[in-house]
Amino acid sequence: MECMIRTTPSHQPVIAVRGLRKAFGPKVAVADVSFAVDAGEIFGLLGPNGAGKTTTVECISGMLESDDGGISVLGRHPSQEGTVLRSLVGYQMQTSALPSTLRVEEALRVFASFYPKPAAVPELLDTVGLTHRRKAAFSALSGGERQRLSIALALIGNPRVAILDELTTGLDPQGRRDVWALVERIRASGITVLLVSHFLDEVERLCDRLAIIADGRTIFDGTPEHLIARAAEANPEIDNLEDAYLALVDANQTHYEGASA
Amino acid sequence: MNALSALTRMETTLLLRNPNALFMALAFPAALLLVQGFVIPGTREPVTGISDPVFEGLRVIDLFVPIALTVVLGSVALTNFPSAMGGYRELGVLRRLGSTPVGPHRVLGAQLIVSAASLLAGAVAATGVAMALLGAQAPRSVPLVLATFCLAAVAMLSLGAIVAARASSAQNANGIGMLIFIASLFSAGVWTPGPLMNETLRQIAGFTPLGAASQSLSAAWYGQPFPWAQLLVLLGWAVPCALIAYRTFRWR
Repeated sequence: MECMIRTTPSHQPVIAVRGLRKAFGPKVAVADVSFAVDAGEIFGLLGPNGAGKTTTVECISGMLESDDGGISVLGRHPSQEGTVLRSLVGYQMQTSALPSTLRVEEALRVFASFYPKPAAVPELLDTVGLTHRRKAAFSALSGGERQRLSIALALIGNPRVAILDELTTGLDPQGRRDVWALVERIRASGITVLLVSHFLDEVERLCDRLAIIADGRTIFDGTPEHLIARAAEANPEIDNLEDAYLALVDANQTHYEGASA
Repeated sequence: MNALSALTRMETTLLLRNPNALFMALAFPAALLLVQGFVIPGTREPVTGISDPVFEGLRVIDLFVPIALTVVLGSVALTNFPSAMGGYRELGVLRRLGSTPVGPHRVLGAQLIVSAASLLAGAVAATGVAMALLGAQAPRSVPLVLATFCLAAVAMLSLGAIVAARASSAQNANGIGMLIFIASLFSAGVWTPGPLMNETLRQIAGFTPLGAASQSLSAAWYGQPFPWAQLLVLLGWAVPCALIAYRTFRWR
């Protein structure tokens, strides 16, 4: 049974997740996840593979219905106002494809027809650097070009929130830097970004705040500086985000195994 | 352009870029008729052993023309359409569409519109080949044949939609679709045309969607009494299958 999160209009987070739980049969993918994303920030969602990050964002986007807990996106409940929310939230998926013979510009024009106030296709092609590839079939695109097209499809509806899931996986260093610059431009345009990643350099470069999920639970919620400071309390030698993240995840794993024994 | 129009335009473009699907929809039924007419011995001889006077003077190949239309129905509704949707599901295209405001009814609707158009084109091609190259008779009642074909198309596309709604991959959809298609070809009379079929088998075949389609198309084509029972059977398949497909549709 889901419950609505009640927040005051004057300080309403764009995304609020509280006590989220989602199971697939006997397997609990998300046990207890909570965090809040404020307007205009880039919020990182981190965690090891299988931690429950993608399940969490699919519940936020309304693609999955949570079993318990509360979710509010732009003051709306994803499972009750899914169609409205899908007009306001752009979702770039970790793995998704398009028909192999569909061309870049055709894909954008089809997706533009789904939204009441879509972005202009030529401008968006320019923003993601695909103008010269607008006639290319999806199957002919490189990994980086596919990723940029995927971001463009997430932005075509002029969303207020963009969920970007593992957006630089498989890209070369230059491709990653290009995509990071694109994410910074997205934020500069006023869109709130929820960035799902397991690359610490990416999170350090882009995110204002972050939450870490491990074993389906939130084990940290705060700024990168706060994470480093917290880890340094236990081990003064820790002075960077990657070491702090690994120390926290390791400590959680040790605690989890100890509790299971 | 609204979402349904844009999706329909996209599906049309993709179909025109897919030679295999084009062959199955447009050329396969006509090719099958040509093979039956020119390669299989005896098919251009007069029909014998049928008491119904409406078949008097017809050749065996003439009986195959309405059956070729059911081959069009089966190949598009049970193979092309479910394979396209299964492929979309396998690649994550449907999951991607599921994250947008577009609903399953528009995605399925666009596929159904393009499938219906290719059904009509395939039927026109098969009929044209039969009449131009095999000297087949024109239908006694074109409006009745058209109406019957449309109802049969709705029934078959609804049946195909169940496979399309659930199949996890193109291969999976194609396998299930082909299995139903091949079984359906028997009831449609591809191997033994309905008028030459054993009476018990013919009655059983009349309860299957492609069998009812074949029998009602033959009746409409050759001026037999109006095939109410077969049309009711087609309706009986169309409505529940469409509901099941819509209710059980999955994005992933």
